[in-house]
Amino acid sequence: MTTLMTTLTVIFITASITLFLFDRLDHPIIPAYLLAGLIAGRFIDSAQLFELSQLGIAFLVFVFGMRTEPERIYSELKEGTETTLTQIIGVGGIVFIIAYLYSNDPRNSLYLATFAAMSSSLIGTELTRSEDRADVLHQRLSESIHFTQDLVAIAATIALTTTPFTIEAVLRNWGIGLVLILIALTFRTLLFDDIIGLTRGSRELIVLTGLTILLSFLAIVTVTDTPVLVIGSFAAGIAVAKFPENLEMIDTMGSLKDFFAAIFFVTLGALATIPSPLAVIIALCLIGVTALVKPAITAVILSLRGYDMRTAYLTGLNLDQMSEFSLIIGIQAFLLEIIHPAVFQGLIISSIVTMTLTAYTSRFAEPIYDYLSEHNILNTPDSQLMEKTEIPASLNEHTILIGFDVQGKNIAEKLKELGEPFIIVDNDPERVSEAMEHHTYYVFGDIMANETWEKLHLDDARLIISTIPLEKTSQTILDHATDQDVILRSYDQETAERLLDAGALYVSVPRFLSGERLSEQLDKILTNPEYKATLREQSEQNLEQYLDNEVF
Amino acid sequence: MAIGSASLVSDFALIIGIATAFGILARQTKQPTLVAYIAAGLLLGPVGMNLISETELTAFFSELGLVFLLFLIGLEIELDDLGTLLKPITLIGLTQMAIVAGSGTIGAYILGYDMITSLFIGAAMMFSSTALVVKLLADKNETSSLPGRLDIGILLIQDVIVVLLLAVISLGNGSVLSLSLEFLQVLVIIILLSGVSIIAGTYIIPRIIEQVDDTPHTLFIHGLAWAFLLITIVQQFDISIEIGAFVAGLGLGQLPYSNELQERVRPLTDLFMAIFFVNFGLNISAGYLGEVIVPGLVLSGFIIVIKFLSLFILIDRAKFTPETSFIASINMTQISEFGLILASLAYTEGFIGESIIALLSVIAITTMGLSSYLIRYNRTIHNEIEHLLALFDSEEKQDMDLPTQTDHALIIGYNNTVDRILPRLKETFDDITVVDKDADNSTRLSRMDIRYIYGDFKHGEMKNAAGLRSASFVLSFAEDKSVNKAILDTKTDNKTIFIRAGSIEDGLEYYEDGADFVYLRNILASEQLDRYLSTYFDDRETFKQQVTADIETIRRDAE
Repeated sequence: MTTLMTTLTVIFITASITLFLFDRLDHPIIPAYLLAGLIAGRFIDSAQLFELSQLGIAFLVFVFGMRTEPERIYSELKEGTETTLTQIIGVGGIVFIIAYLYSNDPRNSLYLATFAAMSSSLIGTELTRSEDRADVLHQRLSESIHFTQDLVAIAATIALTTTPFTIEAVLRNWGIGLVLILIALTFRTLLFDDIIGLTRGSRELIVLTGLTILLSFLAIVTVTDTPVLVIGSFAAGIAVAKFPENLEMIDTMGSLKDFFAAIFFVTLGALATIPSPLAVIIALCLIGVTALVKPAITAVILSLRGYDMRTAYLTGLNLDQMSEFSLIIGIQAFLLEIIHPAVFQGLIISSIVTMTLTAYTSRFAEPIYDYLSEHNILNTPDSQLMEKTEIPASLNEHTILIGFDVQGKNIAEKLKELGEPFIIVDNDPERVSEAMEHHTYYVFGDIMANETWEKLHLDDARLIISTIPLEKTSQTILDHATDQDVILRSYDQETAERLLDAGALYVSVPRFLSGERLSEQLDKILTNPEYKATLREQSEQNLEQYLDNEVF
Repeated sequence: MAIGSASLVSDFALIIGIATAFGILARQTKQPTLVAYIAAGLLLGPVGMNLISETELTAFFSELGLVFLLFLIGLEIELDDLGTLLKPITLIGLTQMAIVAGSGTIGAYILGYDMITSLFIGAAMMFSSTALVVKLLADKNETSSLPGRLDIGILLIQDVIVVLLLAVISLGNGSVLSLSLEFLQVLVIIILLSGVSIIAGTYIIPRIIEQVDDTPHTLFIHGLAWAFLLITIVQQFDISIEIGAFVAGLGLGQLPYSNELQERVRPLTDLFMAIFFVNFGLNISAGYLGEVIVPGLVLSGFIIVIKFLSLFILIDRAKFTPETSFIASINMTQISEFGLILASLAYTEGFIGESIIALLSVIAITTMGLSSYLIRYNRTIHNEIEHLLALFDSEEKQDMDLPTQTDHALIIGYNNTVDRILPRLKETFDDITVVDKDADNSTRLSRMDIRYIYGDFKHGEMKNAAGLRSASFVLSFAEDKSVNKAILDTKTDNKTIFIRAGSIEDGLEYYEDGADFVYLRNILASEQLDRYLSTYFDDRETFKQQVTADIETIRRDAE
């Protein structure tokens, strides 16, 4: 047995234990790995792991690239660019100036600024994503900000690992990166389908094909003498980022990524050793900036851009952790001896802390918000809200429709058809402007905030319908309702029962309603096989109609 | 920055690139990929262009390949499944191995090899290839047929013998007495550890896993940790590390999560084994190849005949029908990758010369290449010579009835709706299989009176395990579009497929692909809500009456 095998044994057993503990506390996994590394670092020689952990970086970025379909870049950038860039410049700028004033060392300061400005997309999405993920505005916003940051991080990695660090060299490497991406896009358009076709669905060959593409791109970059790993792996990922062929590739590469990324993160932790006092100070500063300054700056930017305070705040809070891209930049710079060891150690410690902390802040985001707004720490001046429509004082017996998503639009249509007056409430600027175009009454604002309720002429209302399936929102609505009928929506029957007990007139549970319908159809088909053809024809027509009607 | 170093990246790019290209070529010509990988190694190594040689990292990956392969094989053994066939299989399997090893030894001795070498050649040839046979049978959907089960059972017996042999060879040279004592000791340790591992896998590990909200990712890491732990333990007793991995797999194979774990481990195994076989090709030197090609071909022909005849006669004597005996035997006429592994180990320990590795490679390439066609066309060949087989037929021979999965109902994804429709499905179907990837549901599902598989249906092998092809009713709650597409690919006239779609566009696409009923949660729900709203504005009291029934069911569900 080679010593490398012994090292892997130590790594995986330690990681398994820390993962188990973190899992019990519902914590994210990356800090569990880093912690495992801190512990295992005492028993293993991390130098021999560099090769394997570099593979970890390659696979992490490769898989990220695979998910980066060009169509997605476009739609995410549309939503996230402005906010992200302002946020990066804001947070990064502050950190850079402070660090520079203190150390007079531009390069290390630049690294610290980058570490502070980026947030983790893996952890951000891991924490917010669940099977029945609500299409909640702040989650969507933070996802696109994360995504945009990741793209910026890739450009930053190339720049920050360029030696010598001159403008010409950085520009040259960016140029090479662009050329690689162009090659990747060409490959994706012209060759990828055919090559995947050749494997005839053999997963074994898909694994090898994916690796061949990855290694070929890495080999190309090696020739150009550019920092290889990140840009080569990213371009390779883009080359196969074609739906749906990339699914099987992501799936098979997934376990390779999991294996090598585990080694990578543990190695990172193992490299950190016992921190110097300077490293602790740096870590504390990074933690402070990441956990407090970054969310605050993001929230301010968003509220200036017209989002309501609550959305802005919750989005900001989703960004309160360090990014795994910072770790990738950090380890490369550390191995190239570009950054001070204390900066690297500070990075590792602050990553462990903020990545763990974020599990708690996302869990307690709402209570924290309630506390802040009750104590008037978050002021929402009216001028920052979008204008609401003039709601005539004569409005009477109206319906308040909360949530203008697909279901909301459906209901709005029905209400129009029935000739019932109604007001739409939503906090997504885009949806509100859509409502505006349809000449309906609307209020822009978050239903969780008291000031929104003041605009709804609640006393004259007859019915409140909400399409938002979150229990908290529903409870708030029930708290505000006086003698109006309330129809709510929930994901599951347990919540529905609680809401009914709390006074809702009816709770629509899509899972339940559709399940009822499904068992009805199933019974018919099993009892009478002849019915199969009829069912198929009818329900297909039905769907087609829906597709035509989908516009409000 | 080792990965950044030009030579390492380009070496790996070359190894994997050529292996992939050859692999694709093999796939097109219906050849096993293993043959392609060895050929890639030959091309890159001293036999061909002499471009690269073995490096520390390729050697390490090869070693990991073996570890993962044995881990995977352990995972795949489900003790329950062996049940009915265990007795005939053990007898047939062991006897056939003895016959093949004996004939192989004699054959090699006649060709002029010395006794020890001949023994190793014979032993290396007695296994048939699990990877090849299982893979090709799965492609043909024959793994659950009677010949398929016989083959897989015999291969499992062989796997166990491989593990023991690996242990013996790694003991190295010594006197017969001390070797037998050591072997006995090793045997006891392996049996003890297997027991511990199986008990842990059956009773202890599930308890621990229940305590946490595990994702497939963390299960994978825990699984690897378990494997590495047992590797370390066996290493304390100087037993080869692959055996630790095998024993670890054996324990985890009893978990409901074993299918998922297999799918996670498989890509790693594929990669590392590809490197293993390329490495194998790299290590063959040009001089030997010319020397061994003639004896290699002669032995290949000889061993194919011996393997087929011995197995056919043995299965026939166990009173199976001639058809079953024929198909089961013709599937098994190749030598195994384990033959090569044993040979390389024996070479390292100094039992055999380098040329024997080349010889066995020739035999592996020839027999595997040929047998992949034999397996593919097994039924055609059988039909051609059926009249000859009639000689073997008699009244008393019949195939035993096996519980096979056909005409069952298959449900992908578990939720409340499934609970609601299960009673109705049970009226029509005897067998119901539920595949679900949420570890939280596993305790509950495994207690229900259905067949339950834990895992993500998008993994290729899961579809075979669940009997997708032979199911007559499929209900999919899968969110992954490719999964639903794959289900619809198996659509036939007497199979009913219900699918839940995520969007209207997807739904229409599923109809186009032949779905019988596609439903969108939100659409069905909003249709219902629309109806309710009309009533509400018309007359509030009627509305209240209408929803009463709903509310009652909701409250009942919530219990």
